Parts: sequence; structure tokens; C-alpha cells
Amino acid sequence: MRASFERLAWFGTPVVITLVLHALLFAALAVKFSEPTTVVARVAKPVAIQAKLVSADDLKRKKQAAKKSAPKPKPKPKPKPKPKPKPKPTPIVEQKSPPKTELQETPAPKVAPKPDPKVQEAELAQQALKDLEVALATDRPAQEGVQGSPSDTAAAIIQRAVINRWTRPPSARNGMRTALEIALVPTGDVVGVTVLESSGNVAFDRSAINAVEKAARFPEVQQLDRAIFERDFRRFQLIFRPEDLRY
Amino acid sequence: MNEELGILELILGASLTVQLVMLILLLASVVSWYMIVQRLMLLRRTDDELVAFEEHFWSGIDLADLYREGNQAVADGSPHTGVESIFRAGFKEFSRLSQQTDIQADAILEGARRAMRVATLRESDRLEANLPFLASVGSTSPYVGLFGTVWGIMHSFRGLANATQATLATVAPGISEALIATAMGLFAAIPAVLAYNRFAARVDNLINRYDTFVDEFSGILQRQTYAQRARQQQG
Repeated sequence: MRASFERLAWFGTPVVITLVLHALLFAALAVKFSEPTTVVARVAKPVAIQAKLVSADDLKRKKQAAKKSAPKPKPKPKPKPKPKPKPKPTPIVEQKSPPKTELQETPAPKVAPKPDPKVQEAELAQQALKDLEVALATDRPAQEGVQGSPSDTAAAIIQRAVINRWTRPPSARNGMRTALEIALVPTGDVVGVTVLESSGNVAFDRSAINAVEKAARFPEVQQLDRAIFERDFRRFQLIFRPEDLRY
Repeated sequence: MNEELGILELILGASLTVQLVMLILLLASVVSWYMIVQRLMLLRRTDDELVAFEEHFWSGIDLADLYREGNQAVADGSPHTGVESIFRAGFKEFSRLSQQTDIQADAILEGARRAMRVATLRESDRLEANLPFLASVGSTSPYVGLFGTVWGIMHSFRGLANATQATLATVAPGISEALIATAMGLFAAIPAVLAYNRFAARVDNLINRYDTFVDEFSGILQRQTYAQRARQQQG
């Protein structure tokens, strides 16, 4: 009895140790191999770039506006939408996520003080500006003209490059939403475009993919720090949402 | 394009030859680790036995009593190993020869020494078993892994020749999967080489200690033999 147990231990222990060792090694390798994906997937979400549709002339106007209000780069995008609340084709600010609603609030007092500078409203604007800055600092990666982190700047450049190449099909409607996942390599080349969330309209999805594929390359990301690139741009989301259409 | 290149997919996607090489290396690694652990246990046990036996031997116990203690274990069906088997072989031969009065003292000693030398050789064989396997795994598995890698890369580049557009992405997976073979070869070889060197040194050390014990034991036997013969001549 004892002898047979000893015999079992004599042959069993090495077998068990050997198998456990190999299993551990394989598990470690497998985990290590899949790790980059999970990490990227986790951080990619907050960095989603909101590519709202802005028609070409709107863009130009924006640039002019940017030149005019050069000293204040941050508030610039906000006053834009304000003057033309709904009927106009550029309600870019109409968005769903919380930081953006805050944004929408801000322009109202912002623009108002300029024509008639009431004290209260100015205060309000000041407060709103602070709120905005906080919001921007936390997560507003792709607001145009925002001089944020290098990551934000690159995101804004990518957004502009894609929007410039985006031609919507006639079937596009306000409220459609397509989320693409884009994979970049450190040279800035697009190596993968997948539809994460379809709008339901194939032509519209297609137009979004085409826009990215036409852009094909975002050389700006070459300047980014390697770690930032891996975190934000190895894989990121781009959301297409036309909001300037008349119907 | 977005599919993840897990290590498992890489291995499963490799060509048959590379997979075969990987299988061989995996087997070599598993077997050599089995042997490493077993040798480790064996050497440690032998070491402990040697220390315990020497302590017992030099505690002033009568040699015949020591021999008789061991008989019990033999009756239980567990033959002696290590230094105790050497002691028993020597003492058995010694007592058998010294019962015959017409044999010279030198011949008795010589016989006992020979018996112990044989037992020592048998012990060293037992301790060194499997070490040649570790040595060959250590020396050949890097080459086997390298062969798998070269074969995989060859294939990967041949595929590139047929492709119209040569991008890094078309060859990278092939090279990556081929390199796994080298990694596995090294993984099998490094522990095997380390273990071989370590175990060879430990076995040498043990054999040296056995030899020392044999010499010391021969000294005791010599004293006993001459004392015995002197008594016989007087009586």
C-alpha cells in the first residue's frame, strides 16, 4: 500500500509538475498575445471621434471664423452654431453625450454678451466657459480648433480629413449614425476599416467607409508619442452622423 | 484584417512540416522536463540517504547490526539503493570470504573492494540514467526549431512571389508562426542544457563521496581482517 503510493508519487509528481509548467507557459503566452487587443478595445471607446457632417462651405466659414477669433481658440467652435439654431444646416452641437449638452448650453450666453454686455450674462458665460474647459479637458477629443493634448489635435486633423472626403448618398437622413472602427499603423496608414454599428442604410455606411478609405493615410499620427498612438490610434472609433440635412 | 493573431491560430495555421517540428519540440520539452524533475527528486533523495547513512555508520554501531537492520527492508521488498547498497555488497562479500579460513587477508579485502566497486558502478549508472537524453535535447532541439523556422520562412516567401502586391502583412504571419518553432526549440533546449550540466556535476560529486566511503570502509575492514587473522594465528 505504502510502496504503491510511493511509486505513484515517484512517477506522478514529475508528470504533474511538467504538465502544469507547460500549461502555465502556454497560458502566459496566449494572454500576452491577446493583451494588446483588449487594452486597445478598453481605451478606444472614450476616444471615439464624432465626425459630424459639415458641408464644405460650412467648413470654410468655420476656418474664417477661426482666423477672426484667433486669440480665443477654444470657445470658437461654440459661437458658430449658436447664431443659427435650427433651420440652418449646421447644428453641429446637437449631440447626445453629456459633455456636449453642456457645450450646447454655453454658446447661448457666450454669444449674447458680445452684442449687449449685461453683467449677469457675462458671469454666466464665464461660468459656462469654465465648465466647458473642464469638459474639454476631460473628454472632448475632436472639437475643431481645440488646442488640447497631441492626441486631441491628431483626432481633430483626422476628423477634418475624413469629413472633407465624405460624400453622402442621397438617401442619407438626419439622425443616421454609423460607427466605424479604424485600425492604423504607426506610419498613419489605414490598415483596417470595419463597421461597428451600422446605420441601417447600406449606402450611407458605404459612404462612410469610402471617406476613410479615400483619406487612406493620416501622416499626423507619426508625430505622436508611441504610447499615445498605441492607446488612442492603433484602433479607434469614428462616428458618422449627418445633422445638417434638411430632412 | 482586424482578426487577432493569437498564438493558437498561428500554430494551427502553420504548414504541416512546421507543425510536426513544433510537435516534436513540445514532446522533447515535456519529456525532458519530466526527466529533470525526476532526476532532481532522485538526486535529492540519494543525497539525503547518503548523509543519513554516514551519520548512522559513524555513530559507532556494530557493522553486523547495521547489516542486519538492512535485511528487514530487503524482506519488505524494497531493495537498497545508494550508499547502503554499496555497504551491503562490500560487507556481504567480506563476511562470506572471511568465513573461509584458508583465504589470505589481502584476498578478502580485495574481494570486498571489488564487490563495492561493482556496486558503485551500478549506482552511478542508476544516477546517470536519462542524462544523455537531456544532453541530446539540449544540443539538437535548437537546430530542429531552426529547421522549422527556415522551412516556414521559405514557404512564406514563396507565397510572396506569387502575390501581386507584396506587403509586410502578407509575409508577417508566416514569419511569426515560423519563429514560434525556434522559440520552442530554445525553450526545450535551455532547461535541458542547464539541467544536464547541473546533474552531471551532482552525480560526479555523489560518486566521489561514494568512493571516499568505499575507501574508509575498506580501512575498517582491513583492520578487522588483520585482527581476525592475528587471532587465528595465535589460536
